[in-house]
Formats: sequence, C-alpha cells, structure tokens
Amino acid sequence: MLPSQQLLIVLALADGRLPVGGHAHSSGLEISQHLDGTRDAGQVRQFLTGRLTTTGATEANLIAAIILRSADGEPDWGEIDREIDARTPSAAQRATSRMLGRHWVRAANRLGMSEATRSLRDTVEAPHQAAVFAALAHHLELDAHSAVSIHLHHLCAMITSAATRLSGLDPYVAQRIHLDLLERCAVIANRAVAVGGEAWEAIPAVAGPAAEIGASLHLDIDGRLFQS
Amino acid sequence: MNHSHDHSHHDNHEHPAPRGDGRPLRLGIGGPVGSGKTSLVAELCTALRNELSVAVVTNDIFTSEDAEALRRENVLPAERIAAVETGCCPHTAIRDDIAANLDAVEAIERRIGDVELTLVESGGDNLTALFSQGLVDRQIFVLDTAGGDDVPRKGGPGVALADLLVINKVDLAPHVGADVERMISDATERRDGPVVATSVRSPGGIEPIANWVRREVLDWTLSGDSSPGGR
Repeated sequence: MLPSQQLLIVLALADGRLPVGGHAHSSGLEISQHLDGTRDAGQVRQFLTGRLTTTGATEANLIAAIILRSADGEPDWGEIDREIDARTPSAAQRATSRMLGRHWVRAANRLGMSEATRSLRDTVEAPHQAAVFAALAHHLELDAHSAVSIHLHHLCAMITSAATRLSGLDPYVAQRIHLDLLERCAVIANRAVAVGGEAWEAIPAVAGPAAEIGASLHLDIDGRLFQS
Repeated sequence: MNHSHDHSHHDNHEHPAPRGDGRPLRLGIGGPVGSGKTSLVAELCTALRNELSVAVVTNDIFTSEDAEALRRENVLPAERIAAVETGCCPHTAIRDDIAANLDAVEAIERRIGDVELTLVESGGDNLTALFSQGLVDRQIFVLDTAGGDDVPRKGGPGVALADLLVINKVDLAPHVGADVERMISDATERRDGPVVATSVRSPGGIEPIANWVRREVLDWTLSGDSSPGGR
C-alpha cells in the first residue's frame, strides 16, 4: 500500500457522503432539544462533549477492542455482540446501533466488500454498527487508531450537522465546535487503543443515563425529523 | 379534464427472458410540497390494490404524517405502509444517502413477501430533487397548476428525467389563472418521456397514471431486468 493510500482510505470512510444512513440520525440531539431545549452553540457544545465522553468513548473502546482482537484472524463475533449489548443499556440505542450496522453492511456489500463482514454476518444476524465498522476498517487494513478516529469524527459530524438542520446553528459555529473537540476525541481514541487489547472485563463502558433515557423517548416525539 | 400526452417509448422494447429474482418494481413519487403526491399514492393504491400486491414507503418531512393519511384513508392494510424519517432533508434521503429508504423498502418487501409494486413517496421538496437509480427503478414527478404554471418551464432534473411527469389539479387551473396547455408544452419541450395532465382526486383522474404504472409493472415483470436504475 502506498503511503498516501492509507490516508485516502481514512478520508473516504470519514466522508459524510458515504451512504450509511447517518444524515437521518441526530444521535440524541433531537430529543434533547425537546426535553432540554438544546439549541444554541453552548448547549450543542455541551451535548456533543457529553456524547463523546460517554457513549462515544464506549463505542470507541469497543471498536479498538474488536480491531485489536482481529490481528490473528476472525475474532469471536458472538462474544463481541454480547459485549456490545452489555455496554449499550438502552434498548432504543441497541436497536439504532443494529439499524446503522445494517446500513454499513449494505454499503460494504454494494461497494464490493461483502467479504469484510462475512464471518460477522454468519455469526450474528443483525450486527451492531461498531462490529460492522470495525470489521470493514480491519478489512481495509486500518489500524485501531484510525478506525476509532473515524468513528468519533462521524459522531461529531452527525451531531453538529443535525444542529444546523434542527435549530439553524451557524455552520461555521458548528465546525468550530467540532474542531474544538478534536483534542478530546484524540484523548478518547488513545485511551481506547490503550485498553483495547485487555480482557473484556477490563474494557470500560461509560454510562450516559440522560442520553439513554432520551433515546427511549425519541420515538414518542410527535413530528420527529430524525430516526434517532 | 383528462388529456394524456403520452409519448410512450415502450412500444419498441424487446422483452428478454422473465426476471429471475422476482424483485418488485420500485416506483418513486417526487415533487414539490402540496403538489398532490400523497393523493396520487392514495388513488393509485385504490386503483391497483385489487390487481397488484402493493407496498408504500413514505418520506414525509414530519414523520409518518403521510403514512397516517394513507392509513386513515384505508387505501392499503396498515402493514403495507411504512414511514421513514429523513433528518430534515427529503432529497438527501431519496438521492444522496438512500440507506434508510432502502432499508425500509427491503424490509417491507421481505415482510409482505409477494409485493409486485413498491411505491416510495418522497417528502415534498424542490425542483432539483431526483430519486437515486439505486433506490427506485422508475419515478413519477408531480407538479400542480396551483404551484405556478411557469414551473415546467423552469425545468430541473425531476421535470427533465422522471419517467412520467404529472401535472396535477388541472380542475383548479381556471381558479388560479394557470395555463395548462402552456404547462404541457413547456414540459414536453424539456423532456423525452410522457406527460399526463389530470386531477388525481377527480373521478377517473388517476386512470391515465394507473395505466402507465400497469404497463411499467408488466414490462418490469417480463423484462428480467433486476439492475437498479433501468434496462
């Protein structure tokens, strides 16, 4: 692989144009807007910070753990599925995660990379997004750092982009929030990679009760605009 | 008043072997807000439900508003209607990131089992909206006389490229000062495909559209074409 090829793969996987369903998800911002009035720049920044340090960090830990377990062949996908479930206490968030997993599987298949997730799909009927994404990233020879960084990038983009659409947040302000949180993303990614090789019981899951409860209330919003 | 300007290009088609996979024809219904997409879908379902197995996926900007309207009107059993949220971007959901719609379409087709025609109704949008070839096999673009009779002249991908252009609510034309003949001639100039001018809510008003759909479904079933986006 040429030196720039690795970077170009990262950029392609981080591209918001990749049709994996993300545009219709606000990662909890919509329900937070309904419950807590999360609308202005400061509130969106706080919300995103909260998501990154709770569910974002948990997903980062999972992705790093899966990639590090894939170094010597296919990891135990059944065990991984149970570990993801155990770290996703909200049923609504588990359902969303499996829905987004389906979108990533479809994208991989349509891009001619069905092999990347074959073993996972043979083991788990409806895999979680973290598992599918990690399998695809590993297939493309990305290291855990890159894969986790892409995932955190998508989380930042999903929430800031939803904020511009839900409340008209200035897109420059939205990008500023995203850029300001990059260092925090890097810290989360480093921690995820540092613990990823440990036994499952040593890999931390950070709870975000407000987001978890919010996710379960999202489908009750009358006239909701996002899927989550 | 129903005059169908039907410049059909289907008469010379060859019909290869029957399709192997049996996937239903996926038909997109797009067009600006208020042009009558939901009415068209409701009337189409009523016209076709006794001859075809139909399923509907709606993309109203406000979740399930259109799906609810269709369920209320009892045009199809509730399990044949699904709604997809589009994250405030109806055109993104049918064109750029079709994942959620594909997911809903595949799920409803799998659940019902014998679907022959899947309608995907876009949320109301603007003239630049267009269904992805990866989501639907054919698409109808719906305009209406009350939306302004200069709209066909403005054109855009929907007007130019939809497989069928419908100019709806011709019964309102005298009340809103719209020149239907001009709309038809402007539209015809901007596209190769057929144009139908009708009022889908008037008695018999859906028939020219239903007939076009019947022919497309028949063509699809016979053609053996399973590639997204056409033959």
